Amino acid sequence: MSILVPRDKLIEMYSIMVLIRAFEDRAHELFAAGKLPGFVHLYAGEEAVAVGVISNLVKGDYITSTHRGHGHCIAMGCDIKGMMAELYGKRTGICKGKGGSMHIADFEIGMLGANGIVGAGVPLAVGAALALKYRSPGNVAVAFFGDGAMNQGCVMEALNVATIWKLPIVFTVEDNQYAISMRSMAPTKLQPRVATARSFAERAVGFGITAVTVDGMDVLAVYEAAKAAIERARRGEGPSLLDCKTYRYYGHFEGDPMVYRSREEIEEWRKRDPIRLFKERLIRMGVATEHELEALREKALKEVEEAVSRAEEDPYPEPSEAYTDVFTDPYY
Amino acid sequence: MIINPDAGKDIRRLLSSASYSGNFTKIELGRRVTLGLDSAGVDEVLVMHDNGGLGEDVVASLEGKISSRLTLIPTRGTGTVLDTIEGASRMKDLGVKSLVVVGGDGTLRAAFKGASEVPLATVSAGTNNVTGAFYDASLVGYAAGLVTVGGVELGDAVRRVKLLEVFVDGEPRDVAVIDVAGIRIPYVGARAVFEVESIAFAVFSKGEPTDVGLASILGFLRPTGFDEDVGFLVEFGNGFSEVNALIMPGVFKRVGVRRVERLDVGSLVSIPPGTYTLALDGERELEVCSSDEVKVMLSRKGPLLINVPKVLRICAMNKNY
Repeated sequence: MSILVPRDKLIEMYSIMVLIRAFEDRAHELFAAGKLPGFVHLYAGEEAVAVGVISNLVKGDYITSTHRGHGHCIAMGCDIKGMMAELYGKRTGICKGKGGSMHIADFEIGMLGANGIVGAGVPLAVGAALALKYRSPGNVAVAFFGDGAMNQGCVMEALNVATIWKLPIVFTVEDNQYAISMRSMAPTKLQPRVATARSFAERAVGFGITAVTVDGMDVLAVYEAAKAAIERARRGEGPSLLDCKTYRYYGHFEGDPMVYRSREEIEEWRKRDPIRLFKERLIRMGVATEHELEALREKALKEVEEAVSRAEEDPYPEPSEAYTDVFTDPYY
Repeated sequence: MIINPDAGKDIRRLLSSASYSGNFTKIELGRRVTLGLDSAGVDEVLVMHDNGGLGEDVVASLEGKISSRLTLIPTRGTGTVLDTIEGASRMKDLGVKSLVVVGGDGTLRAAFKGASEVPLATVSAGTNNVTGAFYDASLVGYAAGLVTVGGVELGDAVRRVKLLEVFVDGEPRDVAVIDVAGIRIPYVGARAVFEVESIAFAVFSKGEPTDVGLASILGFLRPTGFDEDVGFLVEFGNGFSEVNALIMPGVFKRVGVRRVERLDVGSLVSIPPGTYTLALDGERELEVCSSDEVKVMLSRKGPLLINVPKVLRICAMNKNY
């Protein structure tokens, strides 16, 4: 397995990370200003996971996402303007304004959808992997899900069936330390005694899945581990699980008062901000100058601003379209 | 005692036949260490509060059931190697007489950085376990307990091993116990070293044919023990020799060697200039570029390692058990 990442790829990864951050920071402001209907769950702080994993995917691969899905969408290449319009509920949104933040999807590029139900994307990814095994050997599916989902029954079933059928899938746990407001370790009991011994990878091992723990704040650590797991899947060696330790900067949802964690804790995690760590590394490696990287960040900010401006002006769907594109043809 | 919740869980599980070192197993190892310490008559066992809650579990399960007092030692709980360094340092300040780490070579190295004067023993729970050996954890705990309680002359059963000190531009930057390797990858990434082709050179303090990891290369090239006052600089490539080394569990690789240079204790060797990540004891840790002047010194300032079978044998011979 060659892990030397070409310069262009490194720059692309950085560009996507700053675009995700710019999008999420702006969505934070827009929600506070009452511009976005419905719930919004932001991905800021977790960029290294989506980008580290998805940078290894190719055309024909699939992902499923979570209620915190903007980062996965952007890393998969979803149109930013269409995404912002979707958050606004506008007709020009990538789901015609009817999915919103929590059901955003773009099947054309392999993004099978965010999901409002915790853990519900995981069996969908298993289904996609089963289809790929027969229709497109060599392609893989990736299921992104959070630490809270690791206690959902459907996730256990998905892990089990993926092993039994030796499916080309990579389960990616984004352990952002909290299942809503509960410490991720609290409901994940492995021991009959104190019961704080947390390891999502360990659960996967119980299903016969090869699993590793990854520093989810280091995009290159995630990239390497994901590359190894995805290459295994492409070779037909079955499922793997990446247990990525990361942190979300904003609340579980916008408006969350976050009484369950301290400011000091957030600051401690921010010291290992994935974008800053990557930026420092790129400069040290001579891949880019600080000026060049700042220009990429400004480009991302501009792109998001343009998306906001357009979304503001775009029309809402007509009331007469309320039921179109909502139900699929049952005989399809 | 320090249990590293992250030992034996890295990318090498995806690239080799390395086992996943699970929390349940580590807790049982920790319990056995504690029971060994208790059996040796240790008054108090300090257990580091790790981010995974493994030490806490050990304490909760044995508290009040054994003679030894059990005390949890808090750390900042960063979930990184800093916890082990901090925990070891706190225990040293509290006057511990020995320290048992449940982990691999990286965990031992971190404990050494926090408590360089405290005798150390390792219960193998990592991927590369060059500094440890596969004895039952109860016996490792018992041996450490006998060292703690004292009362018998242990001689070289507890001895200071070699150390590789890394200097960048004349400034001390870090240390390794087993090996310092230059990896032709300019970033740390997933830390583990698994691409033989990417290794430019390595400086070894120790390497036996029974070792796993980079030390296996020296082990088959020039077997060298902890007791010998020599080390080696090995440059990889073609021309001098080739060995079949166990790079990861189950992964033998033929490794070409271009040059070997013997180093005596006290000698300082310059490493070839270039852009590398320096792997310390098998994990990429330190990024250096071609303008950095990097030197490695082989010294006798390494950890005070407890030789478990030797301690147990001496105590058996002296009926000190």
